[in-house]
Amino acid sequence: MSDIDWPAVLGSALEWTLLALVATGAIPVLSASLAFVAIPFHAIINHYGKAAPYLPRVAIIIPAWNEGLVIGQSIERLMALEYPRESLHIYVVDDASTDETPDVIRAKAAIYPDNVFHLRREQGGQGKAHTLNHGIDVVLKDDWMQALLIMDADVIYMPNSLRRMTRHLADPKVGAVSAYIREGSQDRNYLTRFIGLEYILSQPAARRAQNVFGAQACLAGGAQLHTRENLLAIGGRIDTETLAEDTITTFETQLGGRTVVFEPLAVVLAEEPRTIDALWKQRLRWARGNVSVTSRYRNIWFRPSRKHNLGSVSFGIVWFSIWLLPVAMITSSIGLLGLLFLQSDVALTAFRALWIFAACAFVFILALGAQVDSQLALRNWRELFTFPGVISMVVMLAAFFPEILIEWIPSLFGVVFTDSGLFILTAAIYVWIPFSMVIAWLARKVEPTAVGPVLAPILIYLAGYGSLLCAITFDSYIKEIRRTEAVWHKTEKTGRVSR
Amino acid sequence: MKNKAMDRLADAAPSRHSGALPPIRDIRNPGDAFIQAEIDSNRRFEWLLPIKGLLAVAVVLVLVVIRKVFFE
Repeated sequence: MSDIDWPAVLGSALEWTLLALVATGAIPVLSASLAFVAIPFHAIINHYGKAAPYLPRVAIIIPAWNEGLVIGQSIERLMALEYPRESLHIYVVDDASTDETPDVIRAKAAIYPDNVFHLRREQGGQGKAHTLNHGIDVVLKDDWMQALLIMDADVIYMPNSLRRMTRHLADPKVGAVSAYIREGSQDRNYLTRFIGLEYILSQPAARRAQNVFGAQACLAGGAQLHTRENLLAIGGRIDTETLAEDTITTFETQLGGRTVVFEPLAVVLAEEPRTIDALWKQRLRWARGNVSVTSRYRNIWFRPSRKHNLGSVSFGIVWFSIWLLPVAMITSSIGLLGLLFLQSDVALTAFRALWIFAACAFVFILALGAQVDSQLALRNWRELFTFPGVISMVVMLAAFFPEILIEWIPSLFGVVFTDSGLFILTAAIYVWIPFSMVIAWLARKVEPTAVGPVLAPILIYLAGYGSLLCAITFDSYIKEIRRTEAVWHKTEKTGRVSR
Repeated sequence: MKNKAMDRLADAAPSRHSGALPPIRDIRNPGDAFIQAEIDSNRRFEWLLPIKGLLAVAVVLVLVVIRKVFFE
């Protein structure tokens, strides 16, 4: 026993622990890479082989609270769908609107008396799920409806989109189909362009991968088509307990053994937030909803089942990688910093391995994602190149081509790093990722100030859009720990998508 | 009001890239032949994904080669 060199053993144990922390940063990168590697397999593993011509009678439910600016245009677009008009019933559930929404709906119902119906809730404000259930109760009263389309008041369906969704319902195993929600604002700003790219990566890219894996994480709230049988099987109601009713519906459908299909070629345009504050509220609602989903379905994670694929390891890793991404960012930085302060030889190796892997993954993901919707990606090319954040790109550059940052650029200014200078620079690089979340949070704080219109976008370009989303997820942790009341914040829609 | 972006999207990629579809007589009810042809066309369109994946890998490889050649 006395021969054991305890300081060396403890030092080694600490080093391994710190290395394990660094490795946590690789998990989300690995998870995203695996998902994107799966996308090309959608050429083989897709649902088109089981799709067939099928045009069921579709009831469309639109929850509407003070949507006077957008609801008329949305109804007109629905009436212009390339779909038999006699097979369309549009139920607009007016959630006690106080603007001109009821008048607009009544006017449209007068023009299309066989297709448009106004359902009024006198007591509103309980949230989207309650509003939807009001409409669902009505459409289930008779046998007319064969399929139910749930949509948002502001979205605009491409003429062929519904037809491209219903064809999958020809397969009786399919319970629901989701479409590609594409950012469609006409007066775009930096934030809507980032959101547009995020939607490319998360929908026609990542959800194709989910088709391949056989498990969908979430039906788009603005475009989900259910069979009548599926709606009845999940209880004929939308969950009202959480802020993630779309995800609950998606999970319940699949847990019942029915398939959820994502149709990437059914495109629906949507208006997305133009301000960080609006985006923050929207995503905080989603993030907090996902916390309750994670808790509610705690018995399915990583427990493979013959009935559904939600319990598969791949789906579990993807789900938790997104949910715990801020944790991974922080633990990874703690590991790197710890190794640096231990003066461990492996610190630099671990950093380079992690960041070179991250750089390769980012380039692959963005290069493939950009091709999936090249039209939108080209339009948003500035945000495509700065998606990870300008400073994170410099960090990747430092990992990939260390000489550029350490030698070439300083030499242009006649600067040579001292050992302490290099140490400070290295430490700054290691803590950058969690610190980028602080920058994103700061961007929200400065946004409403006089310098906000200029400074907030600069901060987001520097920190990265991903860091903004991570900061919001981190905020959801804080809100959950503090048990702050989860409030439904309606995302303000002004009809920008239709201009 | 016309939405140009939407109109561009309306006849977006798939059918253009994967062969002609039968003519539509009734836009609201294009018929089983058209819908089946559209499904087949969309299915063929997905075969571009492996090519796109290879292109993305090629971009990564370029970076790796630059690192190997110039920075090691």
